[in-house]
Amino acid sequence: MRNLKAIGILFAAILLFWLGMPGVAFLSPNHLKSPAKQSKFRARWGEPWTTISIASAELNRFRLPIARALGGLQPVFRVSQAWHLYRDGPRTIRRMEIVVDGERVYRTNDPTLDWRSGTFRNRRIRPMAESLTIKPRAGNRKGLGQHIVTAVREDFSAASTIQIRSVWSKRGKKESTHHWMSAEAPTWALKDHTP
Amino acid sequence: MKLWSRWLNLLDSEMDPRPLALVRIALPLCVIADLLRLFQLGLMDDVFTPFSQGGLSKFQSPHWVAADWFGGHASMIMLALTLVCMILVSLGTWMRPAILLGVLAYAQLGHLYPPGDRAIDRLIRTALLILLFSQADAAFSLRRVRAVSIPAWPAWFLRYFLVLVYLSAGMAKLIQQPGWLSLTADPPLLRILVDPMAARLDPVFWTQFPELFRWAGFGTIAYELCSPLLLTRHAHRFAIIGLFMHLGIAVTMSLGMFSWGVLACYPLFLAPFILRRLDRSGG
Repeated sequence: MRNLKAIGILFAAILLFWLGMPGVAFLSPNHLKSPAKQSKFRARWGEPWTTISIASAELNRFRLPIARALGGLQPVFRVSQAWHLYRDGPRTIRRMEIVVDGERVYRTNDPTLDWRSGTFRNRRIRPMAESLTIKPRAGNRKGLGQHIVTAVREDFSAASTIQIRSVWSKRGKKESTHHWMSAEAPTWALKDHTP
Repeated sequence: MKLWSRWLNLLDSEMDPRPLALVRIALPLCVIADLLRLFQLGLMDDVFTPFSQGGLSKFQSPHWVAADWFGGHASMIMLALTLVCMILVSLGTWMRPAILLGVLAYAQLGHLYPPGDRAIDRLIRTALLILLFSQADAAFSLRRVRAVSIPAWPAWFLRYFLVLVYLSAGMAKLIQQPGWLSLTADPPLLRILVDPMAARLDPVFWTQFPELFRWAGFGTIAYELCSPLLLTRHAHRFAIIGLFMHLGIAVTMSLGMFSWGVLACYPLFLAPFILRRLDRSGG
C-alpha cells in the first residue's frame, strides 16, 4: 500500500510537470516551425536564444499529443493552464474612453474621469474592455457595449449620444482615437466606427 | 533503491497542520471576496448570464453543462454552490466534499464566462484539489477531531506546484521576450506596469526611470527561475522576496485577487515564522 501510494503521487507529480512543462507549455504548436521563422528570430535575438527557443518548440511538439491524451479531466475542473502569466506589456498605450453627449465621463486609469471605474477595472470585466480597446470589431465587444449603454442611460437619464472610444498613443506621444462604437437615442443601437 | 527509499521517507514525513490550515482558510476567502466584489458592483447578472439572455460574454466554453441540468437558474445555482462550499472549506467543515463540489461549481462559472476566468482562478482550483488529499482541516476548523501532526506530502505537492508555476512564468518571459535580460532594450516590466488597462502607474512619469524597472525585472526573473529554492529548508527566507514581489504587484496593478490568491499559499513557505508567532501567542 505504501509503495502504491508513492507510485501514485509520483505519477501525479510527473503528470503535473508534463501538462504545464515550464518553458515549453505556453508555446504554440507552430512556434518556430519553419526555417523562415527561425531565421527571423535568429536575426533579432541571436544565440543562444534561438537554439534554446527552437529546442523548446520541438520539445513542445513532442509533448502535446501525450499531454492531450493524459489531460482529459482538466476541463471538468478547468485547471489547464500554461502559467506564462505576464510575459510582456504592450508598446502602445491604450485606454477606453466613454463620452456622453460630447463629455468624457470615463477614461482608463484616470482618477478625474472615473465614472463606474470599479466596474471597468474589475478583473473579470477588464479583459473585455481590453479586447474592445485593442481590436476594432472585437468578437466580444457587443456585450460590454450594451452594458455601458444601459449604465449610461441609468446614470445620465437625459443623455442622447454615447461614444465608447479606443484611444491609442506611444508613451509620451500625442494620442488619437483608433476606433470607437456609438449609440444614439432613441434606438441606442451600437454602431462600429474606424477612421 | 536508495532514491526510492528517500521518496518513501519524504511521503511518510509529518508536519504541523497549522500552515496548511491557513492555506485552507485563505484560498476560499479570496474566491468569496472576489465574488462578493462582483455582487457589490452589481455585476453578478451581467457576468454570470449567457449572452443570449443579456450577459456580457458572447462566448461560453463547450464545457458549460450546468444549464443542461439546471436550466435557466444554472448560473445562480453554481454561484451559490461555489460560495457555500468555499465557506465550508474555510471553516473546515465537510472539507473534502465541499472542495470537490466547490471546485466543480467554480469551474462551471469559468466555463460560463471564460474572459473573466484567469490564471489565478485555475491556480486556486488546482491548489484546492491538492488540499482535497490533505488533512488541512486538522487545525483552525470546526471539525471535532484535531491532530498535532498530519502527512506532509500534500503540502510538498502544493509547494512543488507553485514552483512549477514560477518556473514556467520565468522561462516564458525569457524565451518569448529576451529583452528581460537586456541592459539596453526598453524594459518589459516598465511596459507591463504602465499599461493603463491592467496597471496603475502613469506611463509618462515612470518612463523617466527605465533603470528602476530594468533591475526590478532582473529581480523578478531571478526569483522565478530560482523558485526551486522554495523546496529547500531556506524556503522561508527566500519566500520573503516573493512576498514583497506580490505585494508590489498588488499595489501597482489592478489584477483583483491575483496577488492575494498566490500569497494565500505562502503560509507553507513562511511556516517557520508563522509557527513561531503562533506558538508565542498560544494559537
